Amino acid sequence: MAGYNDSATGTSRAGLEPPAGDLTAPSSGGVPVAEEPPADDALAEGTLADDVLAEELLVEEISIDGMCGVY
Amino acid sequence: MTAAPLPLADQFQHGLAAPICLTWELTYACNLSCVHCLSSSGRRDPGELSTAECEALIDEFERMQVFYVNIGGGEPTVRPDFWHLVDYAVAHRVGVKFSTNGIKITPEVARRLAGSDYVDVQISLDGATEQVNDAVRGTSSYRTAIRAAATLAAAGFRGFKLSVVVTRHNAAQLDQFAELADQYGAQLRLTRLRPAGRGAAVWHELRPTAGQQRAVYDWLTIHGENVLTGDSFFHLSGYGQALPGLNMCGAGRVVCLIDPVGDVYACPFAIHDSFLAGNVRGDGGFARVWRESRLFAELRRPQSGGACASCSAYDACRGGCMAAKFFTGLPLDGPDPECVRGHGEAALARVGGVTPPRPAPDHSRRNPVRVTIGRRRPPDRACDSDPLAGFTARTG
Amino acid sequence: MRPESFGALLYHYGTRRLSFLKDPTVLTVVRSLADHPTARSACESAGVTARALPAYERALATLARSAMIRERGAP
Repeated sequence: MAGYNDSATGTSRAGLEPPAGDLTAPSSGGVPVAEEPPADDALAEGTLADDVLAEELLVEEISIDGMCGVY
Repeated sequence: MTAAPLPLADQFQHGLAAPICLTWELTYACNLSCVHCLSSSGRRDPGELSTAECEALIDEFERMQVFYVNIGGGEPTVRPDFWHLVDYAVAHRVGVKFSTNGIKITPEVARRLAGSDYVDVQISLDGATEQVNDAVRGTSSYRTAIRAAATLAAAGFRGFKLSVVVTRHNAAQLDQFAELADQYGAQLRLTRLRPAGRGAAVWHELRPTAGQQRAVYDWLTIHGENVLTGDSFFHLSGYGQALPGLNMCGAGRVVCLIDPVGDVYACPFAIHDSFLAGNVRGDGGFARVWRESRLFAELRRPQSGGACASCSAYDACRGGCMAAKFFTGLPLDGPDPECVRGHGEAALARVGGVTPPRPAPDHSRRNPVRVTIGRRRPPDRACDSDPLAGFTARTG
Repeated sequence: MRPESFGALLYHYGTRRLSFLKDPTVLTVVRSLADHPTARSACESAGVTARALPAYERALATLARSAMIRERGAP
């Protein structure tokens, strides 16, 4: 099906380096944790003038817990 | 350039390369017998995936670039290979959050977990007091959960989850839950009770009243900035501003369930043949089921509103939860049973005496841990000062 | 980062935030950032029109704010 890219490299995964293989490996997240952005900004729709309507929609952000179907 | 991008809900019609969130029930075995267990757990199934099969599944997650997997059960930590599988997942670039009643969270385990960015822990708790919790989850379950939370906190694990299913009996305890979460450096999570698994039998007596439902929505709007919900209250969007999240049913679109015997369901709250997409033991494994199953292709097609299309709230609530409708015997193209406009109540009255679909399969214990729901008095106010007020200790 | 038919998904393990890149061109821009001296030149090279530039600027700012991308030379 279109869009599936089995050969996509994993090289850009933010902050993820495989640790030694056990839970005692020190955390290796080196990416600075920025302050949580106001998610409402990116999610607000239809509040701007016509030709900037698309502005808010190119990148949309939510928490990983923001989908229904996970208990 | 091109026209504005579609709303997310419409973009999922072509299917995602992999689920965003994937729930993986590792075993049906459990030391508890919660009355509302969505997976009817208690006894291990003899056909559960072997360690090697679990590793192969994790290999698939890695190839598909699944970001993280939510491991549950039953009680996943009772599997002897549990910690090995968690290590294996992390070593293969798959993040893990596991959901537990806390039974195996020892100080040593907590220390190891605290040191890893890629493993998260979710402790289940359904009462801010022992009486309210144990009535649903069984004797000593509150103590086990709190002990696990304290152990994680003492080991320096910040931000683990305290996850609550909101019921008629704990809906008034939201502030107390928030305090508990703060006390242990945890993040509170409030989720919706669905009529799934054993929950189907107690749903009518456990679900929040309409007034409580409104109060929960209001509380989340005012106090819920750091409270997670798993997007489980999108059916309440009709009250006003939508709560944070995708605000849509994720079943088969962004989430799915893999059960202990490898069956793939659209969602953990929809464990039923009607929502069975395939099995990971089949040819092509999980990836093929996710990408090619007919059930998922159907679920991904944009849905018309059906009976809800003419309602002004539809754009916000999208007709609510598929599993809630299914297990209360309501049509899937009509209102959610807890529709904020009351259309659900009307629909439930119409289906009246018809027996709804039975959840399946049932892995409940034959001699369950004693709970008191159905035989208990209403929550005792005195429990504010005495956690055991009104509570008759039972063995088992 | 995982390419999808509509663009891409980015997940940050530290913040547990998920970003949806809802346009394949945004993905192209993000992927090419390291090869360009400025974000603007990355956008132009990906075919972003002048009119659409502000939208891309906002998109990249959103990603930077949530640490999905970061400025070269930043800690």
